[in-house]
Amino acid sequence: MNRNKKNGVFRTVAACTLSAAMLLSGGCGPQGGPPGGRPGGGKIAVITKQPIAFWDDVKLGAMDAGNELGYQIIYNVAEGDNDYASQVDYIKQAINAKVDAIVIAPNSQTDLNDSLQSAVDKGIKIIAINSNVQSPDQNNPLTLSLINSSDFDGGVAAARNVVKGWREKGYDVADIQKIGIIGSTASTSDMRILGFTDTLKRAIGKTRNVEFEELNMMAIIMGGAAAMGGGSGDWGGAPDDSAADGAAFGADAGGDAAAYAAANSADADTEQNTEELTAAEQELLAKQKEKEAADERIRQGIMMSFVQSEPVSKRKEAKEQAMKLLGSDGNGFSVLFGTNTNATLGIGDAINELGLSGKVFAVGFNTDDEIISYIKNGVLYGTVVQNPYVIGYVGVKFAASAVQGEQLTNHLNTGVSFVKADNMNDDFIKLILNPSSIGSSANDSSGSSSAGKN
Amino acid sequence: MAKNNKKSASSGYVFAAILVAIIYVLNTILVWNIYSNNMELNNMTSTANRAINQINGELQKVSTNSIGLAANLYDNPLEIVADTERIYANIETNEKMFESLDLPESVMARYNYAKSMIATFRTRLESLGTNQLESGDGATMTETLKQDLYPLQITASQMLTSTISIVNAETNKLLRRNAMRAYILMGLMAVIALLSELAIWFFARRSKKARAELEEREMRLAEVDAKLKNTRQKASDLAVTNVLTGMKNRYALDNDISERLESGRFQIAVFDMDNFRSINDTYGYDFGDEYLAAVAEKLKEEFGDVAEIYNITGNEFCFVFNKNISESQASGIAQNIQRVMSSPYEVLNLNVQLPCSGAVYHYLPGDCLNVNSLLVKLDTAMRNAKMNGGNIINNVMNM
Repeated sequence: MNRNKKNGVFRTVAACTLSAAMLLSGGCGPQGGPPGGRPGGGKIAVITKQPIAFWDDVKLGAMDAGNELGYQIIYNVAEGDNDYASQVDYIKQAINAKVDAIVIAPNSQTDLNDSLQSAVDKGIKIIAINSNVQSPDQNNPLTLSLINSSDFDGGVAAARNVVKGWREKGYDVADIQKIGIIGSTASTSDMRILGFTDTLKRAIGKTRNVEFEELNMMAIIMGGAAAMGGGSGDWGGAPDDSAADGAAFGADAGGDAAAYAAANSADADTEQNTEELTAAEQELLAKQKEKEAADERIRQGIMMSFVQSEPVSKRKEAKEQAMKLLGSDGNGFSVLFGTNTNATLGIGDAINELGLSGKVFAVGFNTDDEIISYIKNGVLYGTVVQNPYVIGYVGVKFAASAVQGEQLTNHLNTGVSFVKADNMNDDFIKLILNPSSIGSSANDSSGSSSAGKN
Repeated sequence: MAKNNKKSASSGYVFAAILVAIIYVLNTILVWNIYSNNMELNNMTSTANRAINQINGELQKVSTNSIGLAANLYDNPLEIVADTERIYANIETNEKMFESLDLPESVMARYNYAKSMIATFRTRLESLGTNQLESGDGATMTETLKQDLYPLQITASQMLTSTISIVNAETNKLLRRNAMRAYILMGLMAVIALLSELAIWFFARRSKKARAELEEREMRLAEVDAKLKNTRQKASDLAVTNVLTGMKNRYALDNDISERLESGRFQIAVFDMDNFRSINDTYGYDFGDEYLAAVAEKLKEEFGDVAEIYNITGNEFCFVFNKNISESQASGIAQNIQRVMSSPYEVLNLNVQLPCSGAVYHYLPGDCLNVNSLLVKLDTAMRNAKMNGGNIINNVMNM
């Protein structure tokens, strides 16, 4: 009996040991994963400027980043690029929704500050895209980072491509006459105009042997582009006599050099001709001043060839402004530049309606289906495109990083590209124009927008 | 029935053992599958991360080199240009390595975006950089790099780091799925192990019960067997015992000494009450039986230790003396036997006394063929004694 009891105990112990071994063996194996996995689980509000294709693509990028990083994206768009009131409401909604971060393309540089400060006070991280707000305390900015393409560089790219395209058409840059600029009410407009005018004026000046002072970018950034540009009144207006003066100066330039050489020679030959030398130096100085004055007149003439319209916010307004500039026959305008989507569309509408395709060299900013169509039809030469998809994507990526406590660069320039008829089929340009072709958005029903569609 | 129960319990153990073995093997296979899957995933992720980091680093190097070229930092710019080709070759190698991995669509979408940016970066750099370098227009090149290529490299870098993030996230997702599978497996194994334990416990309990029943039955059987043996013994004893006196009977004598007849040497004697019939006739058979019983009891008491006493017929007693009893001793004991038997006995409050006659035989090997002929010799000698008036002991050898 005792032996049986012992056997029973042994069997029970053996069975338990075996079961435990099975369980232990079932639980073995590497469980650790790679670092930097999806943090996820939070909410990020994305607030953009206006319901146009550009912002649809930003939304698409934001949605993709949200999906990939595991964040719920709450997307809202204002009615127009000066509609900051809606954005204030969206910020409040985001605070109430207890989001982790807000990615915002502000429609005002100052009017959102109070709302954003409330969000910051609640521990919400703020990332600006496209443009930034002017924080009351520069040492403690409201936004952690700005992701955009440099507006100045965009303007530069537009001007460079005007020069390049102008030459490709067989024209001389010196022949560029009036340059019309249809600016927008958006805060991005001034820097785009500045980059455009600065580059183009230098290119034209180069053909006329004059140089312009380098821009003090720091002063511009701190003081605002408008202060430097001076508005449309400074650039607009009819050319004065400076051009004629410049020509006269040019004709005299050879004589000045000869006189200077002669004076120096006299000085070397004899010290007794001091008076003559002094007279020659004074003459040379006078000639130099005369040349500087002539150069300045040329510079003024070039500057005066830039005509800037009143800022517009709508396509119709832009068209009206463009029509006003062009008159019925182009009114001597060689180049037109629109600083945003609506301005570009307005320019295209005006040129198309006036039948000035090919006569006016028009470039714009941003893209949608109609802009692409205008480019294909030759109404517009090309357009500067940012990469809205990347702006939205990196905006959310930076927001997620900020939520995770990572350090961010305070500015990331996503760059610009120039789209024209002959590069539309380049792979990268196609990706910019149609970001939904990336494929990662295929499973995201909420991210339905794509470039070129309103 | 017990055998069947035992077989059933044994089958239960065998079944449980096979089940546990199968579960263990299955468990091992599944665990190994999860383990190898995790290893493969980790290797793939490491390769992907390494490739992307290489691409990112090399792209940054090209960008840095380009800026250095534009700033005229290098003594031999053409060497840097040539090195750029090597860097691009390295990028392409890592691109191929990355593309050879079986990665999810979401990863490839992000990677392809980055790859497209890298290709554009290269195209733009090649179309601009070399011309500017040859013409020495560093300012234009710097401007191009700053406004066009640097942002492209930075954003491509963002896309590459995102690719790594997605790869890691996807890997973690798969690892979590594997961990979940492992937990489910462990849970399943725990349930099965528990069921197995219950089965083992159940079969053990059944077996214990069956064993207890078996033991009880064996015990009962042993009891029955003992009883049977006892009964048989009793029956056997009855066959060789005189019921009245409790002494061995004629059959017992036959059994005990048959084998000794051929080679044995022993002393044997028979005694019989003279005229015992008169007792039966006078007092009845019951009284006669009581008288015999009393005599027998006295004989056992007096001579039980020197001889084996048999009650071979009614009042005839046979004494087979012990081996150590000599012929003369036997004769002396016979005298005592006669004296004891002839002494008065109180039976049913009556004193009775009868003389007795006997015969003593100093048996030598081979004297008789069987017990019957031995008894005939003894009886003949004893009858002669009775015929001579009784109360006499004859010696068989004397005849």
